[in-house]
Amino acid sequence: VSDPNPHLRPVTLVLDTSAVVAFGEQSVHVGEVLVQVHEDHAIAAIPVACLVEASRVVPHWDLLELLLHHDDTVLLAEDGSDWRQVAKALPFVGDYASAVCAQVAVGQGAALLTRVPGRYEHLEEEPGDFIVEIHPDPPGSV
Amino acid sequence: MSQPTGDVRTDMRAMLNAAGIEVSDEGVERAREQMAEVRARRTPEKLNAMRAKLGMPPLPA
Repeated sequence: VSDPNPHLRPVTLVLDTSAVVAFGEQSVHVGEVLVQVHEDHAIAAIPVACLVEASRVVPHWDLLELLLHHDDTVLLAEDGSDWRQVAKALPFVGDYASAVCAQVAVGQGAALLTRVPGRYEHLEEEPGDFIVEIHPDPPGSV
Repeated sequence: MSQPTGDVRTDMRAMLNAAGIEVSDEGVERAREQMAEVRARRTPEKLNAMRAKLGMPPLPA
């Protein structure tokens, strides 16, 4: 993955595919976590693989553009140099985009925002070691 | 989508507002606590154990 931190601010959060989908569905909880990243003067990273997977089910790509163009987010393109680490993550998480996301989060020492925490449980020593689970928004909150 | 009130590239709440996401101070506080809990659980030992699974070297002590 190419340099994830061009702004020299710490990456404290990585969004996986489900988190990008949740943003596209206007998740209030995702918004609250992003505000927290902003207030920490940190960066939320979005791997390209997760964005592309999410774009299959998010109908309004203009929402994704808003997310990507904010100063506190960074879109991470892969340069291939970390392929061994991604390959090692794959058996733990089951799919390529999640493997990239896990590799970035573990490599950066960042939390991983997801709706599907169970996908990463075999990578963790104990459940919740690096996962921030997205909770459903209460009815009528959007 | 509602009209943003700030710069959607620099103001996170303005960006979220433009995306139709309205957050509350209480919700942001809950997110702060959730992030802090995860940070507390992610000890250097646990992080190094995960790094080892991915073939990454341990972090400097």
